[in-house]
Amino acid sequence: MSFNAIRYAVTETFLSLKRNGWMGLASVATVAISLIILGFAVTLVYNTTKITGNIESNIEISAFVNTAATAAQVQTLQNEIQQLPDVKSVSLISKEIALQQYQASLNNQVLSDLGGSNPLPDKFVVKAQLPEQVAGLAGKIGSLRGIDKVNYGQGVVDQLLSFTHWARWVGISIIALLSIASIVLISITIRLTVYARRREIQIMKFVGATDWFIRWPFLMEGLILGIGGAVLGGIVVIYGYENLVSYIQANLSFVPVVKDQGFMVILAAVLLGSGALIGAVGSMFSLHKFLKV
Amino acid sequence: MFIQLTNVSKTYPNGVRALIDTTLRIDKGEFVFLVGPSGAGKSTIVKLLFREEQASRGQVMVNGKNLSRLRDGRVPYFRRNIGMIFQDFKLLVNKTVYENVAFALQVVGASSKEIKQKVPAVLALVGLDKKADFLPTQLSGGEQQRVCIARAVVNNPPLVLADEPTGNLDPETSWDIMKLLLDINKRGTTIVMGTHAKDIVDSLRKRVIAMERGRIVRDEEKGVYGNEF
Repeated sequence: MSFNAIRYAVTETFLSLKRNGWMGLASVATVAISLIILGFAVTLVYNTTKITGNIESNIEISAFVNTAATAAQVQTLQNEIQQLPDVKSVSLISKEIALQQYQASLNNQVLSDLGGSNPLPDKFVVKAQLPEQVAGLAGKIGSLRGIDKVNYGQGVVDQLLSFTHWARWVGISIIALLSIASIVLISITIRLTVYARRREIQIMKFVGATDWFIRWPFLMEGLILGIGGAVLGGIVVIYGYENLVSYIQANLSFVPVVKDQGFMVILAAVLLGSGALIGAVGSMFSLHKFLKV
Repeated sequence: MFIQLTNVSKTYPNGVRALIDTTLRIDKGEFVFLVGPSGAGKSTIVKLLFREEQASRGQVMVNGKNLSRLRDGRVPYFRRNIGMIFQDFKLLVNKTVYENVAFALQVVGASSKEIKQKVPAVLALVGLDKKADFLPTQLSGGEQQRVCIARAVVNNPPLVLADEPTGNLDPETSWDIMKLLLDINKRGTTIVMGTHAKDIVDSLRKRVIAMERGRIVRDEEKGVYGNEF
């Protein structure tokens, strides 16, 4: 592309942006709003994924040993569990330690009340490799001789898994719908420009302008509208999220929120990229049929 | 040979057979009138030569190029060698006379130096050098057609296609336009002009190709408009 062609494209782009003033502003605003929602949806999905990931990796199976078992039998059981497939780790919490922990949580009241005897069983704490394996593994451990009872927060695991799955899909659907809406709006704006300049386009075709020469100003107009919206939306999302994170950390410190610069940079890049893509796709839609002469 | 149609037929998607097995040859530097009633196939020939339409059958050669083998991407470059003149002028109403002509150079990537040099020259050629800053709406029909001609020839194309260039003009103005086209033809440019203007065709005595229902019915040097239609 020659220098003259570039200068022409740039001039035409800005003339057209000026001419379309309000409509352009409306598309920038729509893109911005869509990307704000997209940005918050992405942060929400990212946070829930992180949080559920944390919870998932902390799901433990508690297996209680028959109180009649001897120390040797407990040792054998530990080895048996260790050798089951999908086991990540096994640790023994003996009844003595369990009692101490229990006591600590009740301000040392219990020991005197019990009069020296210990009613608590030995307990194995087992972690699975993957959260999906927890239920099956718990069943196998429960069927071992010498294990009285198995606990793993039955149901919670399944609910957690289906919630993350569901949250991801809802997020993706909302994002897809909003992207389509933004593309349609940009394409309407560009269509107005194309329509206002259809005679020019026809004459350009007649005097031998190439399709790309004709496309560039429209493509650039679409890109500028899309990127303009993305910058606006990005500022709102990033500024808003940082404030939200500070608020949560100050007032709701038990909610684990993600705060890292790397994620923000990626988020900004995603928003800018989406804005540019929306602008480009929108303008190409409108140009397609006018180029056939 | 400059233009050669060999056994060309054109059937439009709606089933209209606009051109039937037509063979035609035009040499470099000729001035040719295409005459005949509306729908006879004049416009179809012009569209085929401009590669706005492609032949359904047969071969169209223009300036050494076989148009059925011309890739879409090359069409713009092919068109830079053809000047188009329209019955309705097709000027941009929000641009001045100068800008309308300069536009044709801009969109093919000409430098501003080239534009500053060529536009005044071509406006002088068509006699509009004093009205360069006028808008098309401030001009008469004949003057608007001169702008259209200036735009068509500013690139100095070897071929000019004119589709009823005097169709919207009064007889006196039509003659001025014809004189201008003859001048351009004298400089070596081939001109193919579709027209209904009987008195112009009859008095200029140029080559006349008469068409009817998609076929050439008469082709004569120093011809007349004829009485068959």
